[in-house]
Amino acid sequence: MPQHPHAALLGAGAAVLDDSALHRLTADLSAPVRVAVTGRAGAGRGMVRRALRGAGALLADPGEPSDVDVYVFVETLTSDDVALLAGVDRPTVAVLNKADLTCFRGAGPVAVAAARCQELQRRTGVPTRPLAALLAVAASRDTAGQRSLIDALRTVGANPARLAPGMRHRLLAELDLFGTAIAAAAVGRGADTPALAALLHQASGISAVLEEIDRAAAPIRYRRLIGALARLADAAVGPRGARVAEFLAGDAVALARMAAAMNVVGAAATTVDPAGAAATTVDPAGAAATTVDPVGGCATHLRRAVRWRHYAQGPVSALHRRCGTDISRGALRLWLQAGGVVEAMP
Amino acid sequence: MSEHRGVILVIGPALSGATSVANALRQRRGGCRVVECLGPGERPAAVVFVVSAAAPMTQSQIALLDAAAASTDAVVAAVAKIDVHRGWPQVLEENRALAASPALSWVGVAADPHIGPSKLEPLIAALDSALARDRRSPRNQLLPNKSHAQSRIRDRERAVAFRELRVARVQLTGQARATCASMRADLRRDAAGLSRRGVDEFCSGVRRRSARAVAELDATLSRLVDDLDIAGIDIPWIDTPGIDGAPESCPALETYLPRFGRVRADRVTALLSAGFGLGVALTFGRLLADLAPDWTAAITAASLLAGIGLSGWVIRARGLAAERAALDRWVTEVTAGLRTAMEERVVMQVLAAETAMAAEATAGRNASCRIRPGDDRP
Repeated sequence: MPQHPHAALLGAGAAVLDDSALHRLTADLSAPVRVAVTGRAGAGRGMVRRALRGAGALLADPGEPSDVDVYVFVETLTSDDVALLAGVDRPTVAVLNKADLTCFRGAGPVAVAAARCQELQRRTGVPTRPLAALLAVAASRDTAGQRSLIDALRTVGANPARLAPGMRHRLLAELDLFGTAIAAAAVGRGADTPALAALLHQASGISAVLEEIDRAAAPIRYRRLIGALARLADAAVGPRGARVAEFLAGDAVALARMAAAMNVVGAAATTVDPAGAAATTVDPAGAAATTVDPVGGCATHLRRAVRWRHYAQGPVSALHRRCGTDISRGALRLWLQAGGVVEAMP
Repeated sequence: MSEHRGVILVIGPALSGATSVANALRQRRGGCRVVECLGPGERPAAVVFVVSAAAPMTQSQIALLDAAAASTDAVVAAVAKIDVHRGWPQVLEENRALAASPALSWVGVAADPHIGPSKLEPLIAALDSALARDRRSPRNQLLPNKSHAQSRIRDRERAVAFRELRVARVQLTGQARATCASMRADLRRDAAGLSRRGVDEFCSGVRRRSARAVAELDATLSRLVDDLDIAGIDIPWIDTPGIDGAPESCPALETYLPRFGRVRADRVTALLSAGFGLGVALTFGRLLADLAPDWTAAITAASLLAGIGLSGWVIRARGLAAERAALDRWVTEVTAGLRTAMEERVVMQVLAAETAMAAEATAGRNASCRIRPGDDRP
């Protein structure tokens, strides 16, 4: 699992300070979020579990508390699904499984499923993504399995009648109709094992689901960072405390908190308004928040600081109030870096 | 009835493929009117319930199937989109196990296939056999649920019961008031002519009469509740404490009897009576002594005795009058308390009945809302 940016920041601090406590906090921060898979019976929860595991997600064991829930459904949300999704208390991502079987006309199954997901997300307010778990599992298979698949797919492309019944069943079980069709076409164009895996991975929509899980986990990561910094503040006393205190008060920590807070408010804005939310709530310069704008940045940062200060004072939840404060503080640091001058109040 | 013969209702949750099945049936069965939504008052000859083969049914879909099966005898359940979902036989078997009625026939259909030819024959065959079975024995063997007509009758019964309850409340309150008024008049008349010896008997008589009045009211109320129970509404019996056997609700008798706390009044009465007796004895003694001066000693003694006797009589008469007045006040208090208690009892019981009926009506409406077709769409 790669280090999360926040963890990388603390890691850099740990390297400078050479503090074992900081190293431990870094490890805590880079721990992946635990995902639990729930959903409608018969919707393919087991296959989604395998697909997520194959794509590198950490799945919570049964009985273990999870950080993010994945709710699996098929075709559309029934009233039972809507009632369940309305009552969740953890960050949840809804997954429309069997997206490869949605519709074989028009723009194709995945596009139709994606449009349907967007509509469902607009209605429920829960981030919803299409997924063909079967294809994701096929994409994460080892090379030997892929090679025998490619042989069978070549036969399908050349002469389907010559395909052995066992192999036909295997193709249907592992790729199903849509998967077989796109894979056979790709193999016909001369795709090799990695190319086929990449194609199946891309067609399955698993990366969008993982992104959405990551986005849904933003509040958890933010809380982890805040918790880690609070624990670190305990170490800011004693003989070596001055350096830790200096690190905590430094620009790096303020900007890391700002970045984490940006992720939280960005995720919330995307869920409420999927289309073009990033442009409205999180300002365009938000992505480059941790770097200093060379030209004209000064006024932008100050404006941003003022706006997020107002946001934090508005009618928002406690989490968003803290996020607003952190963003405002980070923007002020950036403003200072960009040459802003603090004036005394008259 | 002949109009009903032709209507086939195709129903199913959102995106289940019901529209495709309806379109395909419309093409294949020209003689029948295939609809996805019934008009007002329309009753289908047969219902085709469509679910997708993507996954087994959910609870809301089972409820929809139950609602569809309640309105007619001929119901066929179809698992649609079997052209793309290879696992449809398992889904069909699971649906069959989930459905409440084992007699329901399940078929797989591909009405508007994306892959391969359409597959509608099993559905048409099942529909024909269901219609034929319905014609042979026109009775709902699938689910003896309450139909719309039954629920309408039930609604009407409920409205009538509500009205009866309101009338009963007015009548019973009036009855309680009249009973108490007549009781008060009777008892006050009795109290006015009471002798000292009859006080205890009078008091127990008051208790008996109030207990009887409450028992009569209870009988009327329980008759009312029984009537409503017959209409199918379960009404709890409210036991208002302190009403059973009425005396508990009566003011304490001793408070109003003139036997206690009137020592000073007794003394005043005794003093005045003694003065009166002495005055009478003196006046008569002197008059008689003037008429017969020879008998002075005997006349003085006799008039003294007469004066003492007269004093005693006045004291007794005054005591009786005070006791009667106290009993009169007591009777007024008792009947007022009884009236309040009886009215409260009526109101509480009627309120309990209204609450039970409202709860039942709400539950019924919720149930019918839950199973209304098309409710599944998010």
